[in-house]
Amino acid sequence: MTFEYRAVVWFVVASAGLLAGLATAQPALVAIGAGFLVPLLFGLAARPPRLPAATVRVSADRLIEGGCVQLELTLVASEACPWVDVELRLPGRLDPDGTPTRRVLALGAGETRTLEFSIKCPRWGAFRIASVRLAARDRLHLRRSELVIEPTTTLRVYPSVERLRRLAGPRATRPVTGSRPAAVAGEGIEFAELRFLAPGERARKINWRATATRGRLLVNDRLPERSSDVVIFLDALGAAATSAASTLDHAVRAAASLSDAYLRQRDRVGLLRFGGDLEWIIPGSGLRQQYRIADALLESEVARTYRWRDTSLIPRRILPPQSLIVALTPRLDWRVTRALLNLRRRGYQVSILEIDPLPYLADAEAAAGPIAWRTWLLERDAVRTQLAGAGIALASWGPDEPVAAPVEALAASP
Amino acid sequence: MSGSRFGRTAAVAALGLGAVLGALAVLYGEDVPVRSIPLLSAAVVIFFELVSMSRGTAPDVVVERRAITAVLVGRLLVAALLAFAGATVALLAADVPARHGLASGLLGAAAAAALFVLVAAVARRGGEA
Repeated sequence: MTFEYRAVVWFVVASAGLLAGLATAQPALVAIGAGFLVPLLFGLAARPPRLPAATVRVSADRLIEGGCVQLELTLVASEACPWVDVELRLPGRLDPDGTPTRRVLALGAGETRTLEFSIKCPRWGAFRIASVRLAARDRLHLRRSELVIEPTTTLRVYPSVERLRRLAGPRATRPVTGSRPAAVAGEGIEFAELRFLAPGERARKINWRATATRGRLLVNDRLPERSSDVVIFLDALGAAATSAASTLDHAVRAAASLSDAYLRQRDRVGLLRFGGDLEWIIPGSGLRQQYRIADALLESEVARTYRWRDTSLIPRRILPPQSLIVALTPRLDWRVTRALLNLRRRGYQVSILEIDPLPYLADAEAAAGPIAWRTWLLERDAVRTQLAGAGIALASWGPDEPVAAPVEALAASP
Repeated sequence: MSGSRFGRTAAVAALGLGAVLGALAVLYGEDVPVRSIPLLSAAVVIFFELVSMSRGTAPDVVVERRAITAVLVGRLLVAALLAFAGATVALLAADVPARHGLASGLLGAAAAAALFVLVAAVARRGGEA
Protein backbone atom coordinates (compact mmCIF):
# COMPACT_ATOMS: atom_id res chain seq x y z
CA MET A 1 0.00 0.00 0.00
CA THR A 2 1.42 3.39 -0.96
CA PHE A 3 0.28 6.97 -0.58
CA GLU A 4 -0.73 8.80 -3.69
CA TYR A 5 1.19 11.90 -4.59
CA ARG A 6 -1.95 13.98 -4.13
CA ALA A 7 -2.10 13.03 -0.43
CA VAL A 8 1.19 14.83 0.02
CA VAL A 9 -0.10 17.83 -1.94
CA TRP A 10 -3.20 18.00 0.24
CA PHE A 11 -1.11 17.81 3.37
CA VAL A 12 1.12 20.65 2.15
CA VAL A 13 -1.86 22.82 1.15
CA ALA A 14 -3.58 22.15 4.49
CA SER A 15 -0.44 22.92 6.49
CA ALA A 16 0.27 26.04 4.44
CA GLY A 17 -3.29 27.30 4.96
CA LEU A 18 -3.19 26.73 8.71
CA LEU A 19 0.25 28.31 9.14
CA ALA A 20 -0.58 31.26 6.90
CA GLY A 21 -3.83 31.80 8.80
CA LEU A 22 -2.01 31.76 12.14
CA ALA A 23 0.76 34.03 10.85
CA THR A 24 -1.57 36.62 9.33
CA ALA A 25 -4.42 36.19 11.84
CA GLN A 26 -6.81 35.43 8.96
CA PRO A 27 -9.45 32.84 9.89
CA ALA A 28 -10.37 32.46 6.21
CA LEU A 29 -6.97 30.92 5.42
CA VAL A 30 -7.30 28.56 8.38
CA ALA A 31 -10.72 27.54 7.05
CA ILE A 32 -9.29 26.83 3.61
CA GLY A 33 -6.52 24.74 5.19
CA ALA A 34 -9.06 22.87 7.31
CA GLY A 35 -11.05 22.21 4.15
CA PHE A 36 -8.11 20.09 2.93
CA LEU A 37 -7.18 18.69 6.32
CA VAL A 38 -10.52 17.07 7.12
CA PRO A 39 -10.86 15.05 3.88
CA LEU A 40 -7.20 14.06 4.27
CA LEU A 41 -7.88 12.75 7.77
CA PHE A 42 -11.01 11.02 6.48
CA GLY A 43 -9.04 9.28 3.77
CA LEU A 44 -6.18 8.24 6.03
CA ALA A 45 -8.50 6.99 8.76
CA ALA A 46 -10.42 4.78 6.35
CA ARG A 47 -9.27 1.20 5.77
CA PRO A 48 -6.66 0.86 3.08
CA PRO A 49 -7.86 -0.35 -0.32
CA ARG A 50 -7.87 -4.11 -0.68
CA LEU A 51 -7.21 -5.72 -4.03
CA PRO A 52 -9.65 -8.24 -5.45
CA ALA A 53 -8.46 -11.81 -5.89
CA ALA A 54 -7.59 -12.42 -9.53
CA THR A 55 -7.32 -15.54 -11.65
CA VAL A 56 -6.26 -15.67 -15.29
CA ARG A 57 -7.38 -18.32 -17.78
CA VAL A 58 -6.15 -18.60 -21.34
CA SER A 59 -8.30 -20.47 -23.88
CA ALA A 60 -5.36 -22.11 -25.69
CA ASP A 61 -1.62 -22.37 -25.33
CA ARG A 62 -0.84 -23.40 -28.93
CA LEU A 63 -2.09 -21.90 -32.14
CA ILE A 64 -1.09 -20.99 -35.66
CA GLU A 65 -0.02 -17.41 -36.38
CA GLY A 66 -2.90 -15.17 -37.37
CA GLY A 67 -5.18 -16.86 -34.84
CA CYS A 68 -6.81 -15.42 -31.73
CA VAL A 69 -6.68 -16.55 -28.15
CA GLN A 70 -9.20 -15.57 -25.48
CA LEU A 71 -8.01 -14.53 -22.06
CA GLU A 72 -10.38 -14.43 -19.09
CA LEU A 73 -9.53 -12.46 -16.00
CA THR A 74 -11.81 -13.16 -13.04
CA LEU A 75 -11.83 -10.70 -10.17
CA VAL A 76 -13.43 -11.54 -6.83
CA ALA A 77 -13.74 -8.59 -4.45
CA SER A 78 -14.03 -9.39 -0.75
CA GLU A 79 -14.50 -5.70 -0.01
CA ALA A 80 -15.90 -2.82 -2.02
CA CYS A 81 -13.35 -1.31 -4.41
CA PRO A 82 -14.59 1.96 -5.86
CA TRP A 83 -11.71 2.20 -8.34
CA VAL A 84 -9.80 -0.82 -9.64
CA ASP A 85 -7.40 -0.19 -12.49
CA VAL A 86 -6.82 -3.38 -14.50
CA GLU A 87 -4.06 -3.39 -17.06
CA LEU A 88 -3.23 -6.33 -19.29
CA ARG A 89 0.41 -6.21 -20.36
CA LEU A 90 1.10 -8.07 -23.56
CA PRO A 91 4.40 -8.79 -25.29
CA GLY A 92 5.04 -6.40 -28.16
CA ARG A 93 4.30 -8.92 -30.90
CA LEU A 94 0.82 -9.73 -29.65
CA ASP A 95 -2.10 -7.55 -30.65
CA PRO A 96 -5.06 -6.89 -28.33
CA ASP A 97 -7.33 -7.03 -31.41
CA GLY A 98 -9.14 -3.79 -30.69
CA THR A 99 -10.16 -4.67 -27.15
CA PRO A 100 -8.91 -2.20 -24.53
CA THR A 101 -6.13 -3.62 -22.41
CA ARG A 102 -6.66 -1.18 -19.60
CA ARG A 103 -9.97 -0.79 -17.80
CA VAL A 104 -11.20 0.90 -14.64
CA LEU A 105 -13.91 -0.88 -12.70
CA ALA A 106 -15.88 -0.40 -9.52
CA LEU A 107 -16.52 -3.59 -7.59
CA GLY A 108 -19.01 -4.06 -4.76
CA ALA A 109 -18.30 -6.21 -1.73
CA GLY A 110 -18.48 -9.90 -2.68
CA GLU A 111 -18.85 -9.12 -6.36
CA THR A 112 -17.28 -11.34 -9.00
CA ARG A 113 -16.43 -9.91 -12.39
CA THR A 114 -15.01 -11.64 -15.45
CA LEU A 115 -13.17 -9.59 -18.05
CA GLU A 116 -12.54 -11.04 -21.47
CA PHE A 117 -9.68 -10.04 -23.71
CA SER A 118 -9.15 -11.21 -27.26
CA ILE A 119 -5.48 -11.46 -28.23
CA LYS A 120 -4.48 -11.71 -31.85
CA CYS A 121 -1.21 -13.41 -32.70
CA PRO A 122 0.04 -12.01 -36.01
CA ARG A 123 3.56 -13.44 -35.75
CA TRP A 124 5.05 -16.72 -34.65
CA GLY A 125 6.92 -16.99 -31.38
CA ALA A 126 6.78 -18.25 -27.82
CA PHE A 127 5.28 -15.69 -25.49
CA ARG A 128 4.80 -15.64 -21.74
CA ILE A 129 1.29 -14.34 -21.08
CA ALA A 130 -0.27 -12.59 -19.45
CA SER A 131 1.06 -10.12 -16.98
CA VAL A 132 -1.80 -8.26 -15.30
CA ARG A 133 -1.37 -5.18 -13.16
CA LEU A 134 -4.09 -4.42 -10.63
CA ALA A 135 -4.24 -1.13 -8.77
CA ALA A 136 -6.99 -0.36 -6.26
CA ARG A 137 -7.58 3.08 -4.79
CA ASP A 138 -9.61 4.14 -1.79
CA ARG A 139 -12.65 6.38 -2.02
CA LEU A 140 -10.70 9.64 -1.99
CA HIS A 141 -7.80 8.23 -4.03
CA LEU A 142 -5.29 9.00 -1.34
CA ARG A 143 -3.87 5.48 -1.04
CA ARG A 144 -3.16 2.80 -3.56
CA SER A 145 -2.59 -0.95 -3.41
CA GLU A 146 -0.91 -2.48 -6.40
CA LEU A 147 -0.21 -6.01 -7.55
CA VAL A 148 1.37 -7.43 -10.67
CA ILE A 149 0.31 -10.96 -11.57
CA GLU A 150 3.23 -12.60 -13.28
CA PRO A 151 2.61 -14.62 -16.44
CA THR A 152 2.13 -18.33 -15.96
CA THR A 153 1.27 -19.54 -19.47
CA THR A 154 3.60 -19.92 -22.42
CA LEU A 155 1.67 -19.26 -25.59
CA ARG A 156 3.24 -20.99 -28.57
CA VAL A 157 2.31 -19.40 -31.85
CA TYR A 158 3.49 -21.64 -34.65
CA PRO A 159 4.40 -20.26 -38.06
CA SER A 160 1.85 -20.80 -40.78
CA VAL A 161 2.72 -23.67 -43.11
CA GLU A 162 2.40 -23.42 -46.86
CA ARG A 163 1.69 -26.65 -48.73
CA LEU A 164 4.59 -27.37 -51.09
CA ARG A 165 4.00 -29.71 -54.02
CA ARG A 166 7.45 -30.01 -55.55
CA LEU A 167 10.62 -30.15 -53.49
CA ALA A 168 14.29 -30.20 -54.25
CA GLY A 169 15.27 -33.81 -53.87
CA PRO A 170 18.59 -35.11 -52.59
CA ARG A 171 20.61 -37.03 -55.14
CA ALA A 172 21.36 -39.80 -52.67
CA THR A 173 18.74 -41.73 -50.73
CA ARG A 174 18.89 -43.85 -47.61
CA PRO A 175 18.16 -47.57 -47.68
CA VAL A 176 14.95 -46.94 -45.79
CA THR A 177 11.48 -46.95 -47.28
CA GLY A 178 10.11 -43.53 -48.08
CA SER A 179 8.28 -41.66 -50.82
CA ARG A 180 11.21 -40.62 -52.94
CA PRO A 181 12.22 -42.72 -55.98
CA ALA A 182 15.79 -43.88 -55.57
CA ALA A 183 18.43 -43.15 -58.16
CA VAL A 184 19.14 -46.85 -58.79
CA ALA A 185 16.65 -49.45 -59.98
CA GLY A 186 15.25 -52.04 -57.65
CA GLU A 187 12.00 -53.33 -56.23
CA GLY A 188 9.40 -50.59 -56.23
CA ILE A 189 6.29 -49.27 -57.90
CA GLU A 190 7.73 -46.22 -59.68
CA PHE A 191 8.38 -47.05 -63.35
CA ALA A 192 11.96 -46.27 -64.46
CA GLU A 193 12.63 -47.74 -67.90
CA LEU A 194 12.32 -50.71 -70.24
CA ARG A 195 15.24 -53.05 -70.81
CA PHE A 196 15.89 -56.45 -72.31
CA LEU A 197 15.26 -59.49 -70.20
CA ALA A 198 18.38 -60.83 -68.55
CA PRO A 199 18.81 -64.52 -67.71
CA GLY A 200 17.39 -65.46 -64.32
CA GLU A 201 14.85 -62.65 -64.07
CA ARG A 202 11.29 -63.28 -62.94
CA ALA A 203 8.65 -63.61 -65.62
CA ARG A 204 6.27 -61.23 -63.83
CA LYS A 205 8.60 -58.35 -64.68
CA ILE A 206 8.07 -58.86 -68.44
CA ASN A 207 6.18 -56.06 -70.15
CA TRP A 208 4.13 -58.11 -72.61
CA ARG A 209 2.78 -55.17 -74.59
CA ALA A 210 6.25 -53.74 -75.24
CA THR A 211 7.53 -57.29 -75.99
CA ALA A 212 4.80 -57.76 -78.61
CA THR A 213 5.68 -54.45 -80.24
CA ARG A 214 9.46 -54.95 -80.33
CA GLY A 215 9.54 -58.69 -80.90
CA ARG A 216 12.03 -59.24 -78.02
CA LEU A 217 11.45 -59.87 -74.36
CA LEU A 218 11.44 -56.56 -72.46
CA VAL A 219 11.07 -56.06 -68.74
CA ASN A 220 10.01 -53.08 -66.67
CA ASP A 221 12.67 -51.57 -64.48
CA ARG A 222 11.33 -49.90 -61.39
CA LEU A 223 12.70 -47.52 -58.78
CA PRO A 224 12.34 -48.32 -55.11
CA GLU A 225 10.83 -45.63 -52.86
CA ARG A 226 13.41 -44.45 -50.44
CA SER A 227 13.79 -41.66 -47.93
CA SER A 228 16.60 -39.19 -47.65
CA ASP A 229 18.18 -36.81 -45.17
CA VAL A 230 17.44 -33.12 -45.32
CA VAL A 231 18.94 -30.51 -43.04
CA ILE A 232 17.40 -27.06 -42.88
CA PHE A 233 20.07 -24.47 -42.29
CA LEU A 234 18.61 -21.33 -40.73
CA ASP A 235 20.75 -18.21 -40.80
CA ALA A 236 20.26 -16.35 -37.53
CA LEU A 237 23.45 -14.31 -37.75
CA GLY A 238 21.86 -11.35 -39.46
CA ALA A 239 18.51 -10.13 -40.66
CA ALA A 240 17.08 -7.15 -42.46
CA ALA A 241 14.00 -5.85 -40.73
CA THR A 242 11.36 -3.18 -40.69
CA SER A 243 9.09 -2.45 -37.77
CA ALA A 244 6.52 -4.90 -39.14
CA ALA A 245 8.55 -7.85 -40.37
CA SER A 246 12.03 -9.20 -40.92
CA THR A 247 13.80 -11.67 -43.14
CA LEU A 248 14.03 -14.00 -40.16
CA ASP A 249 10.22 -14.06 -39.88
CA HIS A 250 9.99 -15.26 -43.46
CA ALA A 251 12.90 -17.67 -43.04
CA VAL A 252 11.17 -19.34 -40.11
CA ARG A 253 7.90 -19.64 -42.07
CA ALA A 254 9.78 -21.16 -44.98
CA ALA A 255 11.61 -23.54 -42.62
CA ALA A 256 8.29 -24.67 -41.14
CA SER A 257 6.82 -25.25 -44.60
CA LEU A 258 9.89 -27.12 -45.82
CA SER A 259 10.18 -29.35 -42.76
CA ASP A 260 6.47 -30.15 -42.98
CA ALA A 261 6.71 -31.02 -46.68
CA TYR A 262 9.84 -33.18 -46.34
CA LEU A 263 8.47 -34.98 -43.30
CA ARG A 264 5.28 -35.74 -45.22
CA GLN A 265 7.49 -37.46 -47.78
CA ARG A 266 8.89 -39.56 -44.94
CA ASP A 267 12.33 -38.01 -45.19
CA ARG A 268 14.46 -37.45 -42.14
CA VAL A 269 14.66 -33.74 -41.41
CA GLY A 270 17.06 -31.92 -39.13
CA LEU A 271 17.52 -28.29 -38.21
CA LEU A 272 20.70 -26.29 -37.84
CA ARG A 273 20.42 -22.72 -36.56
CA PHE A 274 23.56 -20.84 -37.44
CA GLY A 275 23.65 -17.79 -35.21
CA GLY A 276 25.40 -16.44 -32.15
CA ASP A 277 25.11 -19.95 -30.76
CA LEU A 278 24.92 -23.01 -32.93
CA GLU A 279 21.78 -24.96 -32.20
CA TRP A 280 20.60 -28.08 -33.91
CA ILE A 281 18.11 -30.87 -34.02
CA ILE A 282 19.39 -34.24 -35.19
CA PRO A 283 17.57 -35.49 -38.32
CA GLY A 284 14.53 -37.57 -37.59
CA SER A 285 11.16 -38.33 -39.02
CA GLY A 286 7.54 -38.42 -37.97
CA LEU A 287 5.10 -36.15 -36.21
CA ARG A 288 7.23 -35.85 -33.10
CA GLN A 289 10.12 -34.51 -35.16
CA GLN A 290 7.78 -32.00 -36.77
CA TYR A 291 6.78 -30.64 -33.36
CA ARG A 292 10.40 -30.69 -32.22
CA ILE A 293 11.44 -28.56 -35.18
CA ALA A 294 8.44 -26.25 -34.83
CA ASP A 295 9.23 -25.67 -31.14
CA ALA A 296 12.87 -25.00 -31.95
CA LEU A 297 11.91 -22.52 -34.65
CA LEU A 298 9.87 -20.52 -32.15
CA GLU A 299 13.03 -19.72 -30.23
CA SER A 300 14.69 -18.23 -33.30
CA GLU A 301 16.06 -14.77 -32.74
CA VAL A 302 18.76 -12.86 -34.50
CA ALA A 303 21.91 -13.29 -32.44
CA ARG A 304 24.63 -11.04 -33.73
CA THR A 305 28.11 -12.05 -32.81
CA TYR A 306 31.66 -11.15 -33.74
CA ARG A 307 32.95 -14.60 -32.91
CA TRP A 308 34.37 -16.74 -35.63
CA ARG A 309 31.68 -19.01 -36.98
CA ASP A 310 32.72 -22.02 -38.97
CA THR A 311 31.38 -25.38 -40.06
CA SER A 312 34.07 -27.12 -38.03
CA LEU A 313 31.89 -26.46 -35.00
CA ILE A 314 29.01 -28.48 -36.42
CA PRO A 315 28.92 -32.03 -35.01
CA ARG A 316 29.15 -34.75 -37.63
CA ARG A 317 25.92 -36.52 -36.72
CA ILE A 318 23.93 -33.35 -37.46
CA LEU A 319 24.86 -33.60 -41.11
CA PRO A 320 24.53 -37.18 -42.35
CA PRO A 321 26.66 -37.97 -45.40
CA GLN A 322 25.14 -37.05 -48.76
CA SER A 323 22.27 -35.19 -47.14
CA LEU A 324 20.59 -32.23 -48.74
CA ILE A 325 21.15 -28.92 -46.97
CA VAL A 326 18.51 -26.29 -47.64
CA ALA A 327 19.82 -22.95 -46.40
CA LEU A 328 17.45 -20.08 -45.60
CA THR A 329 19.44 -16.91 -45.54
CA PRO A 330 19.31 -13.27 -46.60
CA ARG A 331 23.05 -13.53 -47.34
CA LEU A 332 23.94 -10.52 -45.21
CA ASP A 333 26.83 -12.14 -43.35
CA TRP A 334 29.85 -13.46 -45.18
CA ARG A 335 30.39 -16.15 -42.53
CA VAL A 336 27.18 -17.86 -43.65
CA THR A 337 28.28 -17.86 -47.28
CA ARG A 338 31.66 -19.25 -46.27
CA ALA A 339 30.06 -21.98 -44.19
CA LEU A 340 27.80 -23.03 -47.06
CA LEU A 341 30.72 -23.14 -49.48
CA ASN A 342 32.64 -25.29 -46.98
CA LEU A 343 29.73 -27.69 -46.70
CA ARG A 344 29.52 -27.94 -50.46
CA ARG A 345 33.22 -28.74 -50.64
CA ARG A 346 32.68 -31.49 -48.08
CA GLY A 347 30.32 -33.17 -50.55
CA TYR A 348 26.93 -32.09 -49.32
CA GLN A 349 24.24 -31.07 -51.74
CA VAL A 350 23.45 -27.47 -50.85
CA SER A 351 20.49 -25.38 -51.99
CA ILE A 352 20.00 -21.79 -50.91
CA LEU A 353 16.63 -20.17 -50.56
CA GLU A 354 17.65 -16.54 -50.42
CA ILE A 355 15.22 -14.30 -48.54
CA ASP A 356 15.53 -11.10 -50.49
CA PRO A 357 16.66 -8.38 -48.03
CA LEU A 358 16.26 -5.45 -50.44
CA PRO A 359 12.58 -4.69 -49.63
CA TYR A 360 13.65 -4.24 -45.98
CA LEU A 361 16.50 -1.92 -46.83
CA ALA A 362 14.52 0.94 -48.34
CA ASP A 363 16.47 3.60 -46.45
CA ALA A 364 19.84 1.93 -46.73
CA GLU A 365 20.63 3.32 -50.18
CA ALA A 366 20.19 6.89 -49.00
CA ALA A 367 22.17 6.19 -45.83
CA ALA A 368 25.07 4.45 -47.57
CA GLY A 369 25.25 6.59 -50.67
CA PRO A 370 24.72 5.44 -54.27
CA ILE A 371 28.29 4.26 -54.89
CA ALA A 372 28.48 2.14 -51.73
CA TRP A 373 25.03 0.77 -52.43
CA ARG A 374 25.92 -0.26 -55.99
CA THR A 375 29.17 -1.79 -54.81
CA TRP A 376 27.29 -3.84 -52.26
CA LEU A 377 24.83 -5.04 -54.90
CA LEU A 378 27.69 -5.98 -57.22
CA GLU A 379 29.34 -7.89 -54.38
CA ARG A 380 26.13 -9.81 -53.82
CA ASP A 381 25.98 -10.68 -57.49
CA ALA A 382 29.62 -11.81 -57.41
CA VAL A 383 28.95 -14.08 -54.42
CA ARG A 384 25.89 -15.45 -56.19
CA THR A 385 28.06 -16.33 -59.19
CA GLN A 386 30.64 -17.91 -56.89
CA LEU A 387 27.97 -20.06 -55.24
CA ALA A 388 26.57 -21.14 -58.60
CA GLY A 389 30.10 -22.02 -59.72
CA ALA A 390 30.50 -24.23 -56.65
CA GLY A 391 27.37 -26.16 -57.63
CA ILE A 392 25.01 -24.57 -55.14
CA ALA A 393 21.47 -24.00 -56.38
CA LEU A 394 20.08 -20.62 -55.37
CA ALA A 395 16.61 -19.12 -55.66
CA SER A 396 15.52 -15.72 -54.42
CA TRP A 397 12.30 -15.21 -52.49
CA GLY A 398 10.52 -11.86 -52.09
CA PRO A 399 8.40 -11.09 -49.05
CA ASP A 400 5.03 -11.03 -50.84
CA GLU A 401 5.50 -14.18 -52.90
CA PRO A 402 4.46 -17.69 -51.90
CA VAL A 403 7.41 -19.82 -50.84
CA ALA A 404 6.35 -22.52 -53.31
CA ALA A 405 7.74 -20.51 -56.25
CA PRO A 406 11.42 -20.43 -55.17
CA VAL A 407 11.19 -23.98 -53.79
CA GLU A 408 10.00 -25.22 -57.18
CA ALA A 409 12.79 -23.22 -58.82
CA LEU A 410 15.28 -25.05 -56.58
CA ALA A 411 13.66 -28.37 -57.46
CA ALA A 412 13.99 -27.60 -61.16
CA SER A 413 17.63 -26.56 -60.93
CA PRO A 414 20.12 -29.27 -62.00
CA MET B 1 -16.04 6.21 -21.27
CA SER B 2 -12.49 6.46 -22.51
CA GLY B 3 -9.79 7.87 -20.27
CA SER B 4 -9.04 10.72 -22.66
CA ARG B 5 -12.69 11.78 -22.69
CA PHE B 6 -12.90 11.49 -18.93
CA GLY B 7 -9.77 13.60 -18.56
CA ARG B 8 -11.02 16.18 -21.05
CA THR B 9 -14.38 16.46 -19.27
CA ALA B 10 -12.64 16.91 -15.93
CA ALA B 11 -10.32 19.52 -17.45
CA VAL B 12 -13.22 21.48 -18.92
CA ALA B 13 -15.06 21.35 -15.58
CA ALA B 14 -11.90 22.47 -13.78
CA LEU B 15 -11.46 25.35 -16.21
CA GLY B 16 -15.09 26.43 -15.75
CA LEU B 17 -14.88 26.26 -11.98
CA GLY B 18 -11.53 28.03 -12.01
CA ALA B 19 -12.99 30.80 -14.15
CA VAL B 20 -15.93 31.20 -11.78
CA LEU B 21 -13.65 31.27 -8.73
CA GLY B 22 -11.35 33.76 -10.46
CA ALA B 23 -14.28 36.02 -11.37
CA LEU B 24 -15.55 35.88 -7.79
CA ALA B 25 -12.07 36.72 -6.49
CA VAL B 26 -11.90 39.71 -8.82
CA LEU B 27 -15.38 40.93 -7.92
CA TYR B 28 -15.46 40.25 -4.17
CA GLY B 29 -11.78 39.76 -3.34
CA GLU B 30 -11.70 42.65 -0.92
CA ASP B 31 -14.66 41.82 1.27
CA VAL B 32 -15.61 38.17 1.17
CA PRO B 33 -18.47 37.47 3.57
CA VAL B 34 -17.41 35.04 6.28
CA ARG B 35 -20.38 32.75 5.72
CA SER B 36 -19.29 32.05 2.14
CA ILE B 37 -15.79 30.88 3.13
CA PRO B 38 -16.86 27.22 3.76
CA LEU B 39 -18.46 27.18 0.32
CA LEU B 40 -15.31 28.68 -1.13
CA SER B 41 -13.22 26.03 0.63
CA ALA B 42 -15.41 23.25 -0.80
CA ALA B 43 -15.13 24.81 -4.26
CA VAL B 44 -11.33 24.97 -3.99
CA VAL B 45 -11.20 21.29 -2.99
CA ILE B 46 -13.45 20.38 -5.94
CA PHE B 47 -11.20 22.41 -8.22
CA PHE B 48 -8.15 20.52 -6.96
CA GLU B 49 -9.95 17.22 -7.50
CA LEU B 50 -10.97 18.09 -11.04
CA VAL B 51 -7.43 19.12 -11.93
CA SER B 52 -6.14 15.88 -10.41
CA MET B 53 -8.67 13.82 -12.39
CA SER B 54 -7.84 15.55 -15.66
CA ARG B 55 -4.15 14.75 -15.23
CA GLY B 56 -4.29 11.40 -13.48
CA THR B 57 -6.31 9.30 -15.92
CA ALA B 58 -4.43 7.53 -18.70
CA PRO B 59 -5.90 8.27 -22.15
CA ASP B 60 -6.02 4.62 -23.27
CA VAL B 61 -7.99 3.40 -20.29
CA VAL B 62 -11.70 2.59 -20.44
CA VAL B 63 -13.53 3.85 -17.35
CA GLU B 64 -16.70 2.02 -16.38
CA ARG B 65 -19.83 4.04 -15.58
CA ARG B 66 -19.96 2.71 -12.02
CA ALA B 67 -16.40 3.85 -11.42
CA ILE B 68 -17.30 7.33 -12.68
CA THR B 69 -20.26 7.43 -10.30
CA ALA B 70 -18.00 6.30 -7.46
CA VAL B 71 -15.54 9.06 -8.31
CA LEU B 72 -18.23 11.71 -8.49
CA VAL B 73 -19.68 10.64 -5.16
CA GLY B 74 -16.45 9.79 -3.37
CA ARG B 75 -13.94 12.29 -4.61
CA LEU B 76 -16.15 15.26 -5.37
CA LEU B 77 -19.23 15.08 -3.13
CA VAL B 78 -17.73 13.53 0.00
CA ALA B 79 -14.55 15.58 -0.22
CA ALA B 80 -16.53 18.79 -0.76
CA LEU B 81 -18.85 18.05 2.16
CA LEU B 82 -15.93 17.28 4.44
CA ALA B 83 -14.14 20.42 3.31
CA PHE B 84 -17.27 22.44 3.98
CA ALA B 85 -17.67 20.93 7.43
CA GLY B 86 -14.00 21.40 8.27
CA ALA B 87 -13.97 25.01 7.15
CA THR B 88 -17.17 25.76 9.09
CA VAL B 89 -15.81 24.29 12.30
CA ALA B 90 -12.52 26.10 11.84
CA LEU B 91 -14.29 29.41 11.37
CA LEU B 92 -16.49 28.84 14.39
CA ALA B 93 -13.49 27.83 16.48
CA ALA B 94 -11.70 30.97 15.40
CA ASP B 95 -14.71 33.24 15.90
CA VAL B 96 -15.95 32.09 19.27
CA PRO B 97 -12.97 33.21 21.42
CA ALA B 98 -13.18 36.73 20.02
CA ARG B 99 -16.77 37.08 21.15
CA HIS B 100 -17.09 34.98 24.25
CA GLY B 101 -13.68 34.58 25.77
CA LEU B 102 -11.22 31.77 26.36
CA ALA B 103 -13.65 29.21 27.74
CA SER B 104 -15.79 29.40 24.62
CA GLY B 105 -12.64 29.16 22.53
CA LEU B 106 -11.67 25.94 24.26
CA LEU B 107 -15.19 24.70 23.65
CA GLY B 108 -14.80 25.49 19.95
CA ALA B 109 -11.48 23.68 19.82
CA ALA B 110 -13.09 20.68 21.52
CA ALA B 111 -15.87 20.79 18.92
CA ALA B 112 -13.25 20.79 16.17
CA ALA B 113 -11.49 17.83 17.77
CA ALA B 114 -14.83 16.04 18.09
CA LEU B 115 -15.45 16.64 14.39
CA PHE B 116 -12.11 15.08 13.52
CA VAL B 117 -12.87 12.05 15.70
CA LEU B 118 -16.28 11.76 14.06
CA VAL B 119 -14.73 11.97 10.63
CA ALA B 120 -12.25 9.23 11.50
CA ALA B 121 -15.01 6.98 12.84
CA VAL B 122 -17.19 7.52 9.77
CA ALA B 123 -14.22 6.88 7.50
CA ARG B 124 -13.39 3.62 9.29
CA ARG B 125 -17.00 2.45 9.10
CA GLY B 126 -17.23 3.44 5.42
CA GLY B 127 -14.09 1.42 4.69
CA GLU B 128 -15.45 -1.66 6.45
CA ALA B 129 -18.72 -1.43 4.52
